[in-house]
Amino acid sequence: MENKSVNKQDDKSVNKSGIKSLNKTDFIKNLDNDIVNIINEHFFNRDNELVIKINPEDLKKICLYFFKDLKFYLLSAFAADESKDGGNNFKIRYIFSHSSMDLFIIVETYASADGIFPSLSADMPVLNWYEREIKDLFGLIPEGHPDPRPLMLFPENYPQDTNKNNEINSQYSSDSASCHPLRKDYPSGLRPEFKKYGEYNYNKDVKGDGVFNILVGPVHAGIIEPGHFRFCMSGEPILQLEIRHFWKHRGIEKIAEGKTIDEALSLAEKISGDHCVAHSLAFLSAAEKILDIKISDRGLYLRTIYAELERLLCNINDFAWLFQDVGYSFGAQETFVLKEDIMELNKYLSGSRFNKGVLSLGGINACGDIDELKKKILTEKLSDFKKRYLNLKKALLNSSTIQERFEETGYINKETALDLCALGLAARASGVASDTRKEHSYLIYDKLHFNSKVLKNKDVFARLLIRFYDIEESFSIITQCLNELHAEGTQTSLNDADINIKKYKLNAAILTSTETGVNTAGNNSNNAVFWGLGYCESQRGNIMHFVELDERAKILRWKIRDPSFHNWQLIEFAVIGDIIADFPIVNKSLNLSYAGNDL
Amino acid sequence: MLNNDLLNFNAVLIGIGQVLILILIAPFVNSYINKIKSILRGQQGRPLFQGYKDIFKLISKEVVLSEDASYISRFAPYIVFVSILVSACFLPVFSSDALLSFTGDIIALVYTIGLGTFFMALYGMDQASSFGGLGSSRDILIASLAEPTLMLVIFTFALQTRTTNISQIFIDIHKNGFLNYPVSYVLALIAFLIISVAENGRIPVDNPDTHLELTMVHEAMILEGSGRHLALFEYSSYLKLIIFITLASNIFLPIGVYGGIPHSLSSFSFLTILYAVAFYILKVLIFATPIAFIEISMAKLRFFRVPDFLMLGFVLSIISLVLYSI
Repeated sequence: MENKSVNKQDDKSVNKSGIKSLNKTDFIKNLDNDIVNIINEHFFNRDNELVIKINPEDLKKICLYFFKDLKFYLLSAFAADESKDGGNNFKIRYIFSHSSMDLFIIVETYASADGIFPSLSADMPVLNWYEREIKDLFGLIPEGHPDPRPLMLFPENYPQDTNKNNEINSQYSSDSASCHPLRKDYPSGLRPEFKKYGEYNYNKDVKGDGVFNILVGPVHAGIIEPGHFRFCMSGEPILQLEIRHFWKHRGIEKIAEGKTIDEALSLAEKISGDHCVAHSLAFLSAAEKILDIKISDRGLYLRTIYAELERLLCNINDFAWLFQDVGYSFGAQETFVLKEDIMELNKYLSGSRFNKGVLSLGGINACGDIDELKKKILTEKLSDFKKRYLNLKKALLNSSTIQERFEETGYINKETALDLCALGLAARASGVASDTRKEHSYLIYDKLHFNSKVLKNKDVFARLLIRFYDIEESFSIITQCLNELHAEGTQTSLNDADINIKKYKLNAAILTSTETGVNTAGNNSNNAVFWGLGYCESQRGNIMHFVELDERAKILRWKIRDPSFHNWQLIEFAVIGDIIADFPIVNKSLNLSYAGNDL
Repeated sequence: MLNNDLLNFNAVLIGIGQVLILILIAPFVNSYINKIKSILRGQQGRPLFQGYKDIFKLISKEVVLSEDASYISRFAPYIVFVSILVSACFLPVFSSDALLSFTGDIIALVYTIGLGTFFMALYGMDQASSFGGLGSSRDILIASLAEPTLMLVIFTFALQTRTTNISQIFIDIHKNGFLNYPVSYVLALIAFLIISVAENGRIPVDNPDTHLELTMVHEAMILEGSGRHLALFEYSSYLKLIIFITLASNIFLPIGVYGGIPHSLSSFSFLTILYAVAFYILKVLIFATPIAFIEISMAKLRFFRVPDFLMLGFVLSIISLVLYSI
């Protein structure tokens, strides 16, 4: 099996390099013939968004072709309810990307009339959570899923589907037998009756002499977000870890439906508290693409500065916690002070310690403008921070007791990282390149000089080193941006964005009227211009937003994917063979978001 | 030995006074270590009398017991506390008039503390929580590895002073000083430091400040404890630390009025005792300070490195014993 795929890859490598040099528009022609034949329709939604429409029965073939043969990465997978007038129409999209090409491939298919779509989890483990998410939130059945337990709507609190027929158009009420909140006919704000509907089952049990289970969470001794971990152990070594997250599902995607872009922006800032800038950036870039809003150069530079400040802050914070968790409180305290100073700098720059409310549609809010005085102070502070950071780094690298804890702990193999499509630093510490800033350059990253370091050591220490590289690159990127920042005039003034929204509405009205007039078949294929992808590289890895607007420029479907959604699954593999006392370090070396994971 | 009634009465008074002193300053020493750590980290730190306030707060709270807990959980906190108290009675603090004293009592001291450790481990497992058993198994591993080293260090001094009575050992060391066997002493001191760190759950063996349940050793066992049970456990661990520090300070810093008090009844006075107590507290603070420095400058060891660390202590204690014997 392994050899086969390797051979296949060798065959294709010629093909792949061929693709790279060619124009993106010729991409389809260079695919295998039998793949091209099963594609119903393909078009470019935007210059780097290639949409491929296929039938569900061909889904497996085409996805595996991209994933296994062409070594594409899966970035997101989600459903959208496009049912109209009692009809039943669920679209399912898979977004693929490749590290050497600025191209997103959106494979678009649909669920059958009785709400069934083929499951690919057995071949693409990364789809495991995605398919279960679709099953919970839309009530669509991934056929042949190896682990069909609920992912987010747990049987303890949510009614489970009992009728096999999977009636699509049942009326929802608080005591109804099913709860699929992302369906359009599910009333927003409706909560199922609070009672116990069933029992949660763990996936697998490890049995044997001296094997015991330790259940941790969702309530912890420290003040952290909820997460449940079940360790199967034999003495200290961990035999198996099963994580159970999604304890505080907020329903952001449902709340956002029907909201304006500004309202949704406020939600975007709250997806994952420490990644406020990254998530709003991803959301705004999608919205701006759809509305065709151009951002001034100065706006781009300012956005980059704030994005890098956030990356810097998060990396310093993780660095401090790694110190703390090995019990080196002296280093931890110094690093926490540095983190606090960065947050105070943020407050000075924008009025918010997390830089909340800085980004706006079309540019930057006035509060986030960086004038000459702020620029001077920012430069001074950064050189001070860098000096302090380098001292702390030296302290860590000089301490054998600290390094001893980090080295050879928490291995994430390259194969695991590839199978689960690990993102960001988790991938880069295991020898897999993953950096959206390089792959799909946005803002002004193509003009900046920075490295995206990839290491092969795959342990906790490698992930810490990657953080060090990232911190140093962030310092350098912010300095580069500050040097380039001189033009005045912060934003495409708000009016411009308004004009664009009006233009969009007009355009959309025309399009929908022609669609209903001409296209009576009901497949709303002309909708393509209504949606777009927004992405950015957060500190944890790629953030992918899919935003679809209706003709009134309100949110129709918004799929948010935080890097934690991919990377949480890595932990189950990273801890195997480690002792349980080292779990907190492995966990902290990835430092994933619970909130961003559980929308 | 003098068999004077008055002397006996005085000796008993001093013995009680010694135990009381231990009980009184134990929370303070813990807070003192924390304070030094905080200052070194650039923090203000908790007040020096926070230890007393914590104990007082806990005593006034009710006890919540797990439904699965048996009678062991109800008795264990008291047994642990009493066993530490009893071992404190063996200990001559500032005068050699310990409340309990007989030949071989230094071994009794070590194993009465061991009884407390045993019941604490039982308590950890009895609560039927995920972490208690984990903590118990770790604690027993550490205790069983630390114990031989402790005994060897004790035997070094027992051989030297030809007695296993703590009071006699202390008197002898105070009389002769340790300059007779300096190398042997230094090695024994390091070995003793390693054991104290391990037995008292300090960095690099255990982290008393951590909130991470999975890495805890001592804290994991008492994670379910509450109210006065927790107060007893906390107090026991304060006392255990002070007992180790007292042992160390009296063996390795043999200066002061130690031997003077009981043997010359004529010079027995309140002032002498006050002087001795002040000197003792000073010695304790001197010995508590390095603990803070070690905790601040090291990371916690990976759990499976702890046996290596304790092995170092064991080897040092053997060398110390051999060096003495040559």
